Amino acid sequence: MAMESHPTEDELERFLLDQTPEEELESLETHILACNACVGRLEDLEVQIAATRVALRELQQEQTAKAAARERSWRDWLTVPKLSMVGAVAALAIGVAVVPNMMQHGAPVTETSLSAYRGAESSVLPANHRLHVHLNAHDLAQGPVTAKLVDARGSGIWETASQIRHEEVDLLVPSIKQPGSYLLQLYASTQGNPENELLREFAFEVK
Amino acid sequence: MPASQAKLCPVPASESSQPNQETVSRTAHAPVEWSVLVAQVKAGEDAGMEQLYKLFSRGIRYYLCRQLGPQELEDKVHDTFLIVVNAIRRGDLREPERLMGFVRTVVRRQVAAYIEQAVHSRREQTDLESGVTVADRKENPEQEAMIRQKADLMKSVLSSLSERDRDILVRFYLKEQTQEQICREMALTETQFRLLKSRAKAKFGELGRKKLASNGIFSVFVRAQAGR
Repeated sequence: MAMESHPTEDELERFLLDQTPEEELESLETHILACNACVGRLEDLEVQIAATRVALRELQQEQTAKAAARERSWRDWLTVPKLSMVGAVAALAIGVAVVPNMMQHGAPVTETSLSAYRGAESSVLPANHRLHVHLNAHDLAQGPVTAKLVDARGSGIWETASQIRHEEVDLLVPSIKQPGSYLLQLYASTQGNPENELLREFAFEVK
Repeated sequence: MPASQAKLCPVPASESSQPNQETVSRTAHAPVEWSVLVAQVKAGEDAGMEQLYKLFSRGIRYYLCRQLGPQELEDKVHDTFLIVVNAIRRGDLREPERLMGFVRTVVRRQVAAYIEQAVHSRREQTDLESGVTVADRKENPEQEAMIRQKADLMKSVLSSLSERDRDILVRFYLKEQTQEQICREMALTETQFRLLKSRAKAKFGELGRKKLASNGIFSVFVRAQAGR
């Protein structure tokens, strides 16, 4: 049965982001197929969402670049000849002790792609770097997933919700301080189902 | 297809320009005599075929493009339309009032069939996807330009937001987290979340109008009114 009235902009936006609840999808899609006006709204919204993403991504990159520049200027300051070694170490100790939270946000970002194929060489990634990870999700259906980071003992360290889009999952993983072996696991996300299915695992080393 | 491109599908020049959101009537679809339409299609009457095409072709084109990309789109729309017509003529549609749902079912099956065919072809051949992606980009230069223009304006708006508000938008648009997850993790109500988004959009619209006024350029914020 088609929707009695046009969908709201929020409903159309959720549709474009593949977040429409299952129980609403049928009526929404049926409406869109026969409503030129709403198709026009969707096309405009697509452009707006694409522009928002480009803008947000560029702003993030600019912030990352500024943070990297600030880090470089810190290092340059510490090598000024007139500074005593004791003073330099003290400044570093204060920075680490007083503002530990800033380390996470200021940490450089390493970009990497991970594949789960057997025989593929395990990736080695730097410690204390945030990881922008592209997970190969070839042959997995598009849709919501949960990504979990576990250490060699299988203890969970971090997890987030994400989406499989175009056979890939894009994640920004917080920096890992401890060297060792880790796994990024992808679980199917189904609402209300506590036993989510493990779809794929990606191994990597941190050094 | 990269997220920044979205699945932007070319709109045929023959399509009439669309009313903007504010002028869309809240009541959907002019009343259609489904049983008359179906009877006309069954009988092979041109009027019925024409009305069916006018009613569904744009929606079918949009849906197929979104799911499958713009490659060979017109052929796929045409094939899907034929499947609908032939199914109606065979008597597969028992209740004319369910025509819209019936079309949806046919379209979804077509999408599944095309995807299965693509997966099968990919397994048989070497990877040719990069070539296809390059072709997609060349097909939407206008839309790319539109996105770039809007993104530049959007950056001004987003820069003026607090880091927290920007983080909310990053979670929603880049990380594609659901509204529920964002509200839960950031201790927001649904209203606060919606308010933030609508404020950002309002600022964006206002900035766009100011830019239009200062540049005196016809921009993407003013839609063509011809033919309405």
